[in-house]
Amino acid sequence: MAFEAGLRVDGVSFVAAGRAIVDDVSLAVAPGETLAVVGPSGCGKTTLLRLIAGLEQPSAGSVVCDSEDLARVPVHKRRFGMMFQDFALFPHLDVEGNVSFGLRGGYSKDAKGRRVAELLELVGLAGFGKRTIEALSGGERQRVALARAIAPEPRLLMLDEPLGSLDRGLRERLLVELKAILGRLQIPTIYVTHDQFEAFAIGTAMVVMRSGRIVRSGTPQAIFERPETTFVARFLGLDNIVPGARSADGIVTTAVGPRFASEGVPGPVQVLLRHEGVAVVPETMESALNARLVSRLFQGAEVRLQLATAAGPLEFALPSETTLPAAGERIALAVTHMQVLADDD
Amino acid sequence: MRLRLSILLILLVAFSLVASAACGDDDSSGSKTLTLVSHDSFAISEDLLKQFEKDNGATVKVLKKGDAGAMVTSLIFSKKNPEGDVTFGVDNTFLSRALDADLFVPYSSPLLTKVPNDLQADGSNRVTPIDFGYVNFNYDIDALKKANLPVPQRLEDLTDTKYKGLVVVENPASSSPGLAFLTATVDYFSKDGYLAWWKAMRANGLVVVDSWETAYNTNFTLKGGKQPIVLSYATSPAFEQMFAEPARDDAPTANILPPKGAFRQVEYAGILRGTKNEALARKFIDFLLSKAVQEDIPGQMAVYPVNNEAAVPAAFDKFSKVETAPAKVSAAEIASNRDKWIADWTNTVLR
Amino acid sequence: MPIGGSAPRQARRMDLAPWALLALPLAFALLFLVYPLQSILRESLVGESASLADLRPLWSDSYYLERLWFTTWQAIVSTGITLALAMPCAYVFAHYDFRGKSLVMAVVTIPFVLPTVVVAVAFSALLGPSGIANSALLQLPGVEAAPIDLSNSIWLILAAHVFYNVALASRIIAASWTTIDPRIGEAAAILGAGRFERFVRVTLPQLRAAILAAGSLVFLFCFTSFGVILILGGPHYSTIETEIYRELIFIFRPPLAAALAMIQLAVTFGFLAVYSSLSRSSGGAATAQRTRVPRSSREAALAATVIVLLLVFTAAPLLALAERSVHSSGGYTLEFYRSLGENVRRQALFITPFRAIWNSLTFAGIATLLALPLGTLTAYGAQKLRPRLGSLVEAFLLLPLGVSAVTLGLGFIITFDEAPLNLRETRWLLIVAHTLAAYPFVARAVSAQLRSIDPRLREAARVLGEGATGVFLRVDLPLIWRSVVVGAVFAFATSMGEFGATLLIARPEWPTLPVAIFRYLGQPGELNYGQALAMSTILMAVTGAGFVIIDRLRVRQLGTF
Repeated sequence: MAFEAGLRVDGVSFVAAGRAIVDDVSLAVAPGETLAVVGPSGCGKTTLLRLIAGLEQPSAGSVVCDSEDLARVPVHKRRFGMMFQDFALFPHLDVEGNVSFGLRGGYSKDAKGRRVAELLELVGLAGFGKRTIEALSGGERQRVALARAIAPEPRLLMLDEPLGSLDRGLRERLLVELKAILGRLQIPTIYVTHDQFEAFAIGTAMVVMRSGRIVRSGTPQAIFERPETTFVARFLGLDNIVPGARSADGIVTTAVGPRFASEGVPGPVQVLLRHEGVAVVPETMESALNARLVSRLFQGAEVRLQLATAAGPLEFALPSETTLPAAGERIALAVTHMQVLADDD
Repeated sequence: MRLRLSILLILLVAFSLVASAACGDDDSSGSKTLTLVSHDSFAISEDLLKQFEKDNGATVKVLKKGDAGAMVTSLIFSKKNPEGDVTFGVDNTFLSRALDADLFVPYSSPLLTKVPNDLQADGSNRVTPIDFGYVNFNYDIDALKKANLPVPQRLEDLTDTKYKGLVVVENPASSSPGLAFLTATVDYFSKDGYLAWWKAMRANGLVVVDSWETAYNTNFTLKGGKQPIVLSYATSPAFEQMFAEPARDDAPTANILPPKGAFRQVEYAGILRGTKNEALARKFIDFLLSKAVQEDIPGQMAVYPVNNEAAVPAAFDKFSKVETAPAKVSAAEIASNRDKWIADWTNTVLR
Repeated sequence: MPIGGSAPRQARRMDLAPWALLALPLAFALLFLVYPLQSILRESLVGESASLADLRPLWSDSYYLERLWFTTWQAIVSTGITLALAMPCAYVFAHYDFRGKSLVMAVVTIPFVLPTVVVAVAFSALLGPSGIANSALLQLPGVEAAPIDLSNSIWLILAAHVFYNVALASRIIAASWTTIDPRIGEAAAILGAGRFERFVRVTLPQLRAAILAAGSLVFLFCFTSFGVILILGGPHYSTIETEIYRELIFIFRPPLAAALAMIQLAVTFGFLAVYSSLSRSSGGAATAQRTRVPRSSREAALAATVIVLLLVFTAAPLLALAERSVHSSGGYTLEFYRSLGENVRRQALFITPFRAIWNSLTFAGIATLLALPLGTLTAYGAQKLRPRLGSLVEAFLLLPLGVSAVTLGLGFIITFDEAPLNLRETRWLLIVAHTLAAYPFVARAVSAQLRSIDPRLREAARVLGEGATGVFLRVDLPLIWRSVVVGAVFAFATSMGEFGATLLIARPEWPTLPVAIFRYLGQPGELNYGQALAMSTILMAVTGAGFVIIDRLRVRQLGTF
């Protein structure tokens, strides 16, 4: 077999107490790629990471890195890097001790010091070496955990909800920095998160997991544009899903009004109305969405509308300059972006 | 969890209440109390003690203070405010220490006429002899028979290689029978000769342990140990028969009776200076010397009575044959030489 | 309107002054440790029967320096072996659940309460020339002489110290091991650390406080060892503690005994102060981990091997002892038990076994309940002080661990003999002695755990509206609960087996089990011997049952704050 750089997971399953926590998962990550693994909590993402790391043994399937089957390679020989949820920093060591922990063999004392300094510089913590872990803020701990994980130049970097416990502002700032660092390192990376925005921002590829299985994979953009199933759409925050019906001539009529052409088997369908690309129209217009305006949220460039409709609450975005009726009054919208979704809820 | 903690708290309070209520029973009777300070081995029949209490309208309380040494130390330290009125159990190896500390109020019991003169401590009757015993070797009859060994006749015999590793004694630096026997060897072999015997014994695999309990209960073959010859008391064989389980007609052990190979330990009673019950304390000493008590304590404490009218249990005569001429060393002589003997012995046998 | 005043008062109450916490333990220690000790030491050194010439051997004879050296090195070696054996046991206790676990833990803890004389009998019943092991080996072809020779030796001393302490060390370390976040070890594995390296670089440092706590207790137990040295070691060995006893009771040179007692106290204090400051610097958040059933057969085999070895080492002598108690020279019998309740010789002051059991349980129960708050307050108060001062205060409050029991007993007798503190004739003096011996165990166990509680948890609880008491009850207590239980177990055990100080202050009205055992062992005759063993077996059973019950006391919402 030809040498293949990066990680390949083939048909990996993990069964505990008779239940498949991870079920026949296959994926690949090449150097320079960042694979975002997303899914709701309990979907098996963390277990998948643990299987790859070797912290758990798969019930079936194989994990291969740089063309080496890792079945018999113990955790500490895999030369991987991992950032844990809540970071799992060594409480008994200072920042320097944590970062240099994985630096072994071939490092003189000086070289070690240089490497630690270099890494702390990289993560923006220059001069923090002698601080105790207790004295660090959440963001600082996150940076230490990243520096620690990448210090030994791992073959694969795994990040498990690395920003999960941080506040939103900090999270967005760190996300940008993290992406820059990952871009510089060119290490194949797996990034586990339950937050779709993080996944979009950081992933060059993305898989969506549900109940231990991968239900969707592709680039973040492709998945966002064509979620294909109600589960993926809802997970990505695309909540405007309404029932509809497809006629024999391929016209889908939604329960709230709008219609569009869509090939396929006639019968009941689920339809995603995208937030964007809507316009206010007179209530009399054919196939307009008629609803009551519950509230509007000014968000700078756009304004978000909360509507009450016959099929439940819906949400849309309009340019800020649009003239709108007052809250509580009726409104009609022309919806242009609609997709039929496979119902897998 | 709060519930649980409050339950715990309630239990704590309840426990303390019960405990303090139970403590309230001290001195509630209102009658006179006579407190006897003794060692752990003190024992007497309940009926006799009850009779004494009834006859004198008093309650007797017995404080046990460890072994005789611990008892004497405790008496000396608490002499400004003694814990009791009368004491029993000071023996001739510790006597001088107690007398030096002036612990006792002299008392001459009328019953002393029935006690042989040589058992009495000194002319002033500061203490009264109550019982005596002999420290000597016992042997395990079956074990010697099985090993085809004769019973040693003299102390010198024990240095024979036949008995190599078969003798266990107590350390005179920590045990009262050990010290008693060391004193006996000084008497028998003379001050200049005793160390030579001990040296020979050491070469012959003598085993030394720190207490009688260890020697008898751990090292003695009768209890599963390795030495069939143990330094114990003359009454031990009789007790082995009397408290055999299951019962038996003979004793599994017997005394070895080499000439002057035993030391006579005499136990005394005394009235503690500072007592507020001196009259009652006197009566108690008379009680201890009475024929009834004198015939009771041999079976209770494995000792011989000092009252020459008192009979001893039949088993004593049968199984605990006694050395007729024990070593004789006075309490004063022991007191003045003890430290040197122990130090020399330790250098010869242990170091 | 009281609005203005209420807020600051609230704030002040939150900031519990350490001295307020320490007031109770300090008062207790000053009254019941310092006061009687200074009385007895003064009396010994300058009292009527004191002669300062008695002190001369202290410097003229190198013997005492040798004793100090021997005392120290045997304690260090005993502690080292105990800790080495305790680690695998602690690992298994902390990580795995198995059937009968609390029973196993109870059984291995029983040695802690047994009087040394009884342990000597147990060892000899198992390993003596005609003991169970040798009898079995003699059945083998080709074996003629008894192969196991158990004579007095340094090995026997070390073995006995390990036998006494391995459960103590295992339990303290296990209590802490359960709170280590397993992901920290996993993080190290991913960073390339193998099993051994993870243990040395990650696990050991996190267990440091617990290992130091266990080690210091074991060290002091061995440093002040009395019965083991005297009875199992034989006359060739003696420690400072046995020399104190000998000088005070047998030779009667009180000044020398007092000087030795002070040397022992000084060494203890210095040791505790150094220990206390060493163990301050470790942090790390505690999370209560759940134990689980061994998953793979390898794990099960490991757990089983450790448990079996531990049981063989600790339980086998106990079983041999129990076997002896139903075995007379006439074969198997229950006579020894039956006759316990029977006053064969119609003795006055006869101790019925039920009386002794009841007294022992009452004393141990009360002593444990008193020791819990005293020990916990000690741990909390000392932790809140400035580090150096805290170390000294903690060392002082733990001094009962290093005090010579016989000296303290004498001190009690001459100190508490007058109103208003005329305790000499009440059972409270005994309870005080037991509590004094017991509370350092609670303090030690708790303080090891306390240092690892993340202070943010307390802050979080305060923000959520809990006062100081609420924070303690709902955050601290659930997190330190295992350690409190460990402390309680050993406080209970210490009290059940206490015989040092009680030797001199025991009251005839309230005989305890160890007192009863000694009474029987002190007389020849198979019935007396058998009854002593029967009583010892009862002591083991009662104590074991007590352990199981204490172990069951759980805070249900462990870690669910």
